[in-house]
Amino acid sequence: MKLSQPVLPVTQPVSLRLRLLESQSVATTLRLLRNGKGAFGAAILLVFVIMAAVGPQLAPYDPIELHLEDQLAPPSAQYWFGADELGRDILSRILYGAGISLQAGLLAVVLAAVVGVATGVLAGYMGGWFDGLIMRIWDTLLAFPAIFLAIGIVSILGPGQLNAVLAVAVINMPTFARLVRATTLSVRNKDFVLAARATGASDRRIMFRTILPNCMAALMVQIAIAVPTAILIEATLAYLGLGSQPPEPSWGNMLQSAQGYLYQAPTYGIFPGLAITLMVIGMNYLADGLQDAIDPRRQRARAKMS
Amino acid sequence: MSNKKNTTISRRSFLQLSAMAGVGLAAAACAPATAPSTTTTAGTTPAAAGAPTAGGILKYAETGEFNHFGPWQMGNVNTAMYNQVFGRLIWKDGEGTEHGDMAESWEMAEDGLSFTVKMYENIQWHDGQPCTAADFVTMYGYTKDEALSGESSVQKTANLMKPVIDVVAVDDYTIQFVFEKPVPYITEILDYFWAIRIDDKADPAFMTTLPVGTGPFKITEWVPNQYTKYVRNETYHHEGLPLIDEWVFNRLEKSETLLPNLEAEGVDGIFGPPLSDIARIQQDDRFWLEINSSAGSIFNIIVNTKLPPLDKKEVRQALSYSLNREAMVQSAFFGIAAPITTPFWNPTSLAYREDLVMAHPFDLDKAASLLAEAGVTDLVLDINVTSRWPQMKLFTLIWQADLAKIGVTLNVQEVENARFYEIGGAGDLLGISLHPWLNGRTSRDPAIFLGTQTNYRGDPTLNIYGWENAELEEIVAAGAVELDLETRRALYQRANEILVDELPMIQVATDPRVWVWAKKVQGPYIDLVGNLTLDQASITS
Amino acid sequence: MQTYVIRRLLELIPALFAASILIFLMITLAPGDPVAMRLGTEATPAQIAAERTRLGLDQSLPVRYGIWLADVVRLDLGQSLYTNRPVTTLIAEAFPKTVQLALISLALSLLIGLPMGMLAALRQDRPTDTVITGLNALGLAIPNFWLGILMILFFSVQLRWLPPSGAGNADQGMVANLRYLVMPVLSIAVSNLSVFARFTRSALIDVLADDFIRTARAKGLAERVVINRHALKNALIPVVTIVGIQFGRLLGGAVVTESVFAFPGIGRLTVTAILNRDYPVVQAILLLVVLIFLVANVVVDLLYGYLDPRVHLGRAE
Repeated sequence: MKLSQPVLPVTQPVSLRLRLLESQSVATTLRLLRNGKGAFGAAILLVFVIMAAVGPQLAPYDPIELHLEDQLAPPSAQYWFGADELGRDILSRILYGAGISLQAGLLAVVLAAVVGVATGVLAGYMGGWFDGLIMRIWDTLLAFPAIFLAIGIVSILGPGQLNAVLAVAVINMPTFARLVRATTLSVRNKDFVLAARATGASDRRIMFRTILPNCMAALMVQIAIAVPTAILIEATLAYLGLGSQPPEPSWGNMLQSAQGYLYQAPTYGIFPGLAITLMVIGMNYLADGLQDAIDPRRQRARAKMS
Repeated sequence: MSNKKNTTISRRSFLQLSAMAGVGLAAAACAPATAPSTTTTAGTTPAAAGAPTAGGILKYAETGEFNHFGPWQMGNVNTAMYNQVFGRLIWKDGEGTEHGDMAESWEMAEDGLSFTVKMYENIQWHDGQPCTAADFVTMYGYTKDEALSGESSVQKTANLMKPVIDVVAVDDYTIQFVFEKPVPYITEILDYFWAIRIDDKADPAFMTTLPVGTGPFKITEWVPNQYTKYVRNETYHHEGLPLIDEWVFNRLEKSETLLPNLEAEGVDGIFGPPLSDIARIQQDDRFWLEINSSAGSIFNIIVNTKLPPLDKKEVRQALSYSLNREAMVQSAFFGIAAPITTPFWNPTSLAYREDLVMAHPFDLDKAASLLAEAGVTDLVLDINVTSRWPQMKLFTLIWQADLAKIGVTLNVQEVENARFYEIGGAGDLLGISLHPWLNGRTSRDPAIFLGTQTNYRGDPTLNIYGWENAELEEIVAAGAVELDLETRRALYQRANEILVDELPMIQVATDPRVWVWAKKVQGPYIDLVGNLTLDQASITS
Repeated sequence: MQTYVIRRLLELIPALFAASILIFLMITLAPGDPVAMRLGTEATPAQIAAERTRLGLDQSLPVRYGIWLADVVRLDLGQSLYTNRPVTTLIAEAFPKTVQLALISLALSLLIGLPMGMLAALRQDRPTDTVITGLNALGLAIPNFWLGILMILFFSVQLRWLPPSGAGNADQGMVANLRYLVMPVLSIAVSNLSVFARFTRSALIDVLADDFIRTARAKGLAERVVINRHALKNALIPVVTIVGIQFGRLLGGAVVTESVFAFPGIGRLTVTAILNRDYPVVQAILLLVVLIFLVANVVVDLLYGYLDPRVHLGRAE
């Protein structure tokens, strides 16, 4: 993936740049929505956001309410998606699970972004031993396949939704840190930064108000890419029994249970997975659209071809 | 020395026991879902098929993997091979009748301070060496051997053999077990005393060299994670047995695949399918089931009696009343289990009292009033479950919903296996209120049960959870040496009463073992320890 | 070039060292007691304590770390706490299985994914492209454990063609055992081929738009020559990169897929060992995996240098 050039002209005063940033965002959003993929993705995401927000009200049953006599019931008028091993309505649990998955994915990535960005900017700007140490830590983490690291972290912290989110966040931190550090390094010695320093601006001000805005575009894209993967990893952890605790309805958890009853209740294993797939497809399309919107060169390249 | 078999049970009592066992069996045949003893379903019983034919290879499958080939380990995944490879002097069948495997006759001394066993003289170990009384002296020596003091299997047997102060070889084929005080239940101890030879003290688990035994089969091959093979012992001291030529014991990875493998005829018998599959199989004419509770495993809940308000027995009783065991048996155990409130649920047990088997029927009002009596409001409890026993997760969630109705919050958390054992092994349950658990040997003589299941004891130096009850400890001490059957029975029934009233452990349901066999397999049976025995198994074509 | 390779390989040592500390801390700090689990529900605290001492688990962390490191250097990986078998044996049994799984999946994904991506790039924005891109999106979004479950539902439960789990027995023969590979391979391949297809597509698009391709076309070279000779070689560079990156994903995919199908490979061994706190096994495998990972990175960089003449390894970076 080619990183775009900074989208802001870098030689102009702060206030003007902030206003340009705003209008740039607006322009980007419009481009995003005009793009077919982006619109499709945004639409799907919207559906799930609504599901997360309003689903609990719409759900026909309380997701933790047991109906033991309807254990593993097949889909019917009473239970549209069937019932699970304790007679709980699968549809209701899926509706509630939307919020859990979305939250997990977003929270994990935002957390990763915050920590990654902070350390990346500091490392790139300060350099020296701090840079070496921090990046060495991140590089060590990158030497592990993500899933092993995630399982390991949850093992230390104990199973649970929050700890799964933390684990997914930690896996993503190195990428954000490297991204921001690279941009910081390339921008650090540019004129406008030197000028800012000459006028006596504090390091902190320089880092966060001058350098950081340059990373924004790439950051946004990285976040959009990371969220769907985060949702998948969190679902995987839940599937392995390391995610949210019973009786909370997490989609990954539901699949873990479903696998034990494939012969008795085949449809049990279908719906939670379908939900995860749809949510991730939507987010992927959104990420694609966002990339295209932010980096119009990709669109132009396409135009050249035909 | 008379040849008459002299056991510690008088003939009258023995008949009484047999009658009770018979009644138990009859009751079991009529009501499979709540039967405490052996039940076979779906058609013919094993012995009914006429003269069994010899020969053939029996293919069998379980999940799990061997991590120990020694029968003294009495571990969960390894038990299926014990009775095939190893022999015992005396063993008890599912009804409690004693049989001699390596013993021709046996006799308790008049003063009850020794027990003499006469062995068969033609027994050979699988490598050809003769088996004599000296071997049993050697085995007893293992329990005192410094070099083996760290080996858990030897320690378990040492614990069981504690009342035996010496084992003497009176002559080449006569063994005498010597006691300080009478041991009325010696034959039940011998039920666990399989004949083994630890030739290499560095490998007491027989992982580098496969073990030799005196049983009907020799173990010949082990491919880890895949299978073990056993062939007929041509020098087996019981003429004409075993019937089959070879037994292949396959390891499958997931329990969900056991039945598909059986149905696809990849194997002829399996153990431990998921409970949810059993109803389906019961309808299938091609197979017959063995649902057996002799092993006596039960699901229960450790109560943290040091953690207020769980230190009040009214609160513990309230919790027992709030368990809807019938519903749990149907849903969490798919109908394959019996609800119980006492560990002494088996009618063949000396401690058995019918009124105590389900002493606390499901009654939320009663539970609520007991809690109010104890002055407890807004009770919050924690409990952990693990994927190794999915039934636990199911029944705790049912319990959670019911407790919520009387204002008690039960937090259920799922943890990994290693963490689950860590909590159970900690005397304070690491600060957690309740912990689901399993205990075994509930069908055994109560002396053995109470001697090995220390979480039911009232001596805080033995019971790691710290529960104290002096009366129970007196009963344990007295019952272990009492030769009179009725006195023993009265003692243990009182113990039963105490345990159901005080509830240091809350009983939930039995944990039956389930085997499924193809119709062509006849003759496998389960002994009182709960282990599979194949010496009389045969395959008809 | 020589010095570059040697330098990179030497750099592995401190990286491995750092990783080993992280691995050790991660598993030993995790709550849970493998010793209690080893001894079962009837064990007394005295027995558990004695066993812990016997296994050397009652010593302090730095001491245990030091002992472990010293053992690793001598290639003594210890014994599994769960099965009592030597860790080297466990790894030697499981590793080939995972390699088998990974290689077949990789081959399948490349075989299908690369042409798909090329096709989509060449027919960009036409119906073929939309369909292929849509399939890719699906392939990327499907959780691979769900794909596994769906396959079991279809091939094992419905059709009863394939066994739902395991890897078969040695005495059943190679061909019969292939049946156990079908579903796991398909599960992993589906998501990987989508990544390859998508990446090839965008890489090829970028390359095709590049100036030197226009130049080649302007020179009048046949379209096919343009594509084969110039475009592909340059498009291969990012593909090599992505295979390198995917390596980690392949291993990770194997982890979950092996759990779904109870396939006795390294992934399943590791997950089980972590959940059972089987310290020796976890430590050994993770170290091995990190080593392979790091070496793979070096290999990818070297390939990169070979394929792209603009990249000069060993000079000022």
